[in-house]
Amino acid sequence: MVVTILLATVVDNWIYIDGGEFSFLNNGTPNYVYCTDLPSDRSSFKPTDTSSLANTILSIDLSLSWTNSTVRIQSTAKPSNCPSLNGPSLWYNQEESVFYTGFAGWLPNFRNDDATMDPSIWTFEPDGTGSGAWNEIISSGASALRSLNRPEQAYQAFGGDSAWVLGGFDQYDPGQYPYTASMVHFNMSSRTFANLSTPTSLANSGAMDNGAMHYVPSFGPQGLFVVLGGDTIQKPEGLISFDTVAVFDPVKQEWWNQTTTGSPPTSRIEFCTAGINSTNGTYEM
Amino acid sequence: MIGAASVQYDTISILTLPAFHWISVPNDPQNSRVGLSCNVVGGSQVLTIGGHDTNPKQFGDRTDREIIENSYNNPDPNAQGLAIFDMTNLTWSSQYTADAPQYEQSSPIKQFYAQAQQ
Repeated sequence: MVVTILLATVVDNWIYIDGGEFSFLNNGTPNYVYCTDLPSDRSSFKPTDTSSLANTILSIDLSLSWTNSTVRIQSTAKPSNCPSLNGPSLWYNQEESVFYTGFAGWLPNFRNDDATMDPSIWTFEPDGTGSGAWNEIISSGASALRSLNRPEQAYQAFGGDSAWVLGGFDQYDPGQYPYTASMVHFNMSSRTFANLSTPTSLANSGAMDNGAMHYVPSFGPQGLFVVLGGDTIQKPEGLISFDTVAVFDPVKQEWWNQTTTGSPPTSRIEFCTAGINSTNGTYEM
Repeated sequence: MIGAASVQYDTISILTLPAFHWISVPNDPQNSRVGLSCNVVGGSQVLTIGGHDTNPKQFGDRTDREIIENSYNNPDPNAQGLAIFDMTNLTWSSQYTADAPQYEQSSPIKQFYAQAQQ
């Protein structure tokens, strides 16, 4: 089995897994399961098994110990028009115990180039058993989303009551340069979006994708976001070096570039980050 | 990139704050993977989920579809695509432990801050 381009978030002893694609062998035949189906007029390719599209959210219970081969992965269906995407948004607001999803992401890898979907915003409220309730809170035609297109392969993170989406690729852009040099801010308390400009000090002025934006809660007045790796598409194309990372203060909404020391990893895209406070006042990611 | 021309990694690096210092973790490279997720899941454990190995074992890919499907044909050696990495001991496991001990800096991190203070 192979699964990829998913996203997971841990809340209250459950880990929730959304989106992505996977394959498995069925009597020796590979089956490919995509995150969502496409309208037949928009794709010349159909998934091999249309009865099991991955239009679900998965969860794993963390309150008990388990082994990877035997742990039960729970599955909760989504409403049929609730987005299931590659590289999705899955933001959590601790204050209201609610997930937000539906903004960013991209369609299965076999889409036609012009197949796209407007974002809509949905909440998922966990019920403590690994499942939960879905609600559409901002539909795709709503004025709050009117000036925003769904970004693909953007850097995303959340912290406090805010979610941030940096860069990425805008499928709707009719020009030759669809890469987005800006950042979108979603305030989970007011449920409103804002578009922020990004400084020229960022790689390609913020038109970057496929890296990581990581929330560090323990530094700065309301935490800091560290942006690292990924690539820029502006010619000459370039992977972004880990020698320098960008740091964003969500309170002042200021950016700065931070030089690192030591042995940075080789530049790359599509990696993952996880971080934790130590007992010594440091934070490792 | 995917397909035969891609370069892939199976490495682990740690960025420690407030120093913004990178430390490379010795990791026996088994299987490169891209598009995985990783999350802290309690104590010092990170759960990695998924990722695919985009080096196709079959050459002669022609269409995008063949290249992508080939990348999904390399089975994940981790059962159900899951693996646990311990950040204190810097070791991999197939087991998740509930109520695990709190994370403490691993040896390379402790060593760095100790020598940085000299």
